[in-house]
Amino acid sequence: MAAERRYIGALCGALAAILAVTAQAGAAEQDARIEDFFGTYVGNARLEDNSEFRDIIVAIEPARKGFSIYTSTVIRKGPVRAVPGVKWRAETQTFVQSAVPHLYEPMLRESMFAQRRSPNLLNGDTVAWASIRGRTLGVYAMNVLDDGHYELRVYERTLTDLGMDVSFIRYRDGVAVRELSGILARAKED
Amino acid sequence: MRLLYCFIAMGLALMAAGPAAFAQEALPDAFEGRFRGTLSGTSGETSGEFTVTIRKSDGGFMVNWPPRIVAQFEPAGHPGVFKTREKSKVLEGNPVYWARIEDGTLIVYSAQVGEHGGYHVDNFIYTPSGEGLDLFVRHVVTGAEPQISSGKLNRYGG
Repeated sequence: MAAERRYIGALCGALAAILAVTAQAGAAEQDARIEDFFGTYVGNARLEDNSEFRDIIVAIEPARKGFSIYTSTVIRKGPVRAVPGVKWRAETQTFVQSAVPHLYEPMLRESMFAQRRSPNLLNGDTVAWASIRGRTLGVYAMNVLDDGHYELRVYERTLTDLGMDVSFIRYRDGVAVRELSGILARAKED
Repeated sequence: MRLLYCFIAMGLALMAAGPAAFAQEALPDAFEGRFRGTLSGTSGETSGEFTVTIRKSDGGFMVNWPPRIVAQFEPAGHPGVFKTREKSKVLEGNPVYWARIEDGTLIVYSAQVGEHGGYHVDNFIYTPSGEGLDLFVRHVVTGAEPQISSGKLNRYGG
């Protein structure tokens, strides 16, 4: 009888362990929510061939039915920022939840004269979208050029313990022609 | 009078350039037929047995490849570039196809945004080789290095 109890106890323990591992795996597979990305991140990135370096600030904030990404980038060739010819650019992209689950599309400026239409990849339109896969927020833009070649730009921002890893790849006809990667820390407001 | 000669010369030059400029608008005969072979490489999705049927039709051409893809291509308005007539609703998950012919090579493209917002873009690059075609596939997919596979396709049937 005692042996039977021990056996049942061991069985229950094993089952509990299996359930715990399964639950953990399930949690790990779940996609992050867009809210998990909200915040400001500061850091550096570099081109794959080390020919350029970037100082980057990314701020991801809620927007109506979606989110916006502000990116400030200082582009430098060497370790020092304060040199003649240093470049800087800033842009804000806003995405709204599309009719397709898990997929965000660029927010269009609303105008009483503008008619909303789906972008047509084969008529020269840029097709852009964003989605969350695991802990990665991906922003994608694709064009088919007049000569039939295509370009695909992939911006990925992955949540880490420190803050966020960033990467950018530009594909031309399936070949990566520009690659950038970097590490950002989540910043606290001063 | 000099102006007239100039216009005549320009007209003759355009006539001479015409066939060359439009040569890529027609599918070369070497691509037409039914072909099959085995692809191997890093792309699991495009490795293994592969069959393709290519036929000229309505000023363009039709390509049929597994599993059940039939794409009807027509000239896109740029030399050597072809597109399908269907509206491209790529963000709604519908695949988009287009093609181009350059330097004797036919490249067929397929682009699709998957259920989870991921992308799949394939280049099928066909080059005539003997009685068949050499095929090189470049598969670009979310979250992975670009994958490639290749193989020799032999002409079969009619």
